[in-house]
Amino acid sequence: MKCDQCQNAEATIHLTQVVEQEVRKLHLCPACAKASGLSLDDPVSAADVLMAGGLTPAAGPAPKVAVPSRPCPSCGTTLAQFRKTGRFGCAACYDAFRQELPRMLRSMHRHDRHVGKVPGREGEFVRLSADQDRLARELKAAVAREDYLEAARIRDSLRDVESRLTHFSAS
Amino acid sequence: MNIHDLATRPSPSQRTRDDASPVVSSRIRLARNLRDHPFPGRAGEAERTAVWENLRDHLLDLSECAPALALALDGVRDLDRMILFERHLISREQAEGRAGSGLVLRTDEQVALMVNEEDHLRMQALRPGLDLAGAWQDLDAVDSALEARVRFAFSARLGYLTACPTNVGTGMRASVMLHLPGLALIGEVGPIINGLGKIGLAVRGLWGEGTEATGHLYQISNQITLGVRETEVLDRLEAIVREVVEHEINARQRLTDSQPSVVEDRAGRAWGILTRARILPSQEALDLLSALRLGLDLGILPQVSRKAVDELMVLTQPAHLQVRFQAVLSPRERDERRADLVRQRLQETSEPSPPRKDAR
Ligand SMILES: [Zn+2]
Ligand SMILES: [Zn+2]
Repeated sequence: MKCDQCQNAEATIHLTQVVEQEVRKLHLCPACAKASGLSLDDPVSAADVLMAGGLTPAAGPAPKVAVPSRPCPSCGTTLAQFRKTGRFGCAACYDAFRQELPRMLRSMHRHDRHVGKVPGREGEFVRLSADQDRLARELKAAVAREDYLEAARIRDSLRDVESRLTHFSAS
Repeated sequence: MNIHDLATRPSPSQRTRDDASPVVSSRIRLARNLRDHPFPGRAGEAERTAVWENLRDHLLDLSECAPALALALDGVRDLDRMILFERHLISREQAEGRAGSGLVLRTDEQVALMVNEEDHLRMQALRPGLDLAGAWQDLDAVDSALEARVRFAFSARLGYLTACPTNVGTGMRASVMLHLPGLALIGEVGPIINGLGKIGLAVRGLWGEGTEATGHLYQISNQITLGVRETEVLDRLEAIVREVVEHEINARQRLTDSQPSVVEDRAGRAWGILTRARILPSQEALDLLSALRLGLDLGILPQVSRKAVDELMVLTQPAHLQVRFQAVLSPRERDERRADLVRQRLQETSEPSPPRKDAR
């Protein structure tokens, strides 16, 4: 496979990123990867480059140098601060530094997914969200087959679920 | 109830039954954070204080932790914070008494809820003996009652979100405190520490680190909080503890079989010093009380009250002594008062007959 960047050398580095629910793949040769600031020893910074939009599969001007993970938008904790103290500043840090997490969590816990207790109200929230998804799909299907009576019924249920979800995030 | 009462009464985690089990107590801690506030390490004083007041009011409302006492730790004396620390009700970090850090304590001391430690909430349940199920029942009930009132930081994928990712998931750390003089004396604590480390458990000295723990008291706890259910962690820990207990009992048997005079000598010397000393430093007291405890478990010195020995391990700590005697004491004065207290308690609670070497 040829490198996406120079279209010439053999690509040996393969990266995946998700942009607006679309999976994008990027194949690079070592030289282009290095020129883009990707360190091969540190997959974290590889993720950073993609996160920061510093690389695009399209050919063109040389991509920008790697930008490290941005500070947490909610509390301002930076990746460097986290690495120094080992402490996150707020719940949103888990999202801001999500690229760091899987590897770190695996080394700490040998797992990366929670299976224990779930707060009762979160359980309710999860259930309502699932209902919302299901009803939205059913509504689409009903409209597609022009069953407007059924569609109206589903729309009512959907509104009910959505108002309960709104109430949820407000509380 | 006030803190002075604590200084003079035994800790419930030390109220051991009068059996000879090496298990002293069981403890579970749950870490929780509020979703909409930065973690305490990142929060300003005003925000920490607001979180404390909010959580305090909710916690005082819960029947699951009533009757309770709420203490803003920046509002209590240094010595009183040290009492709470010596009883393992607050952490060293909380003992510094920063503004906004607080404790809600069920008056039976079996539920202690720290606010604004590393996480907004560190909820602990303590039980004497091996009773992880009982501790979990208490804590799970408080947690469930509280979560109906506040919104915890929680992610479906990662579970409860904590300041330190080593706690993320269940936020649960369970530990069992064990008295392991037998294994320590035959030099087998080290291999056990290494072995348990390989299966995700940690072993720490209660006072001091490594194999040289003062008083031969050790805590075994889980390290992994993500990807394993709470009850699974507890069952596994309990099974391991039972194994360690078996090793300890075997070690004691080997000691009494192979060198009976050494075991009796240690217990006898401990009794001699503890009932005669006039100056008793804290570490020496713990080591001697530990030797005495082993002697009791092995049927040497049957006239001594095991309960008194356990209680003295708590009550002779520096802050406890100073609050008991209502005085700020110099280290020398402390050692004198400690010797007085130990001598007096052992004499009060023991049978009149003096211990003899052949008393079994
Ligand atoms: Zn290339
Ligand atoms: Zn943050």
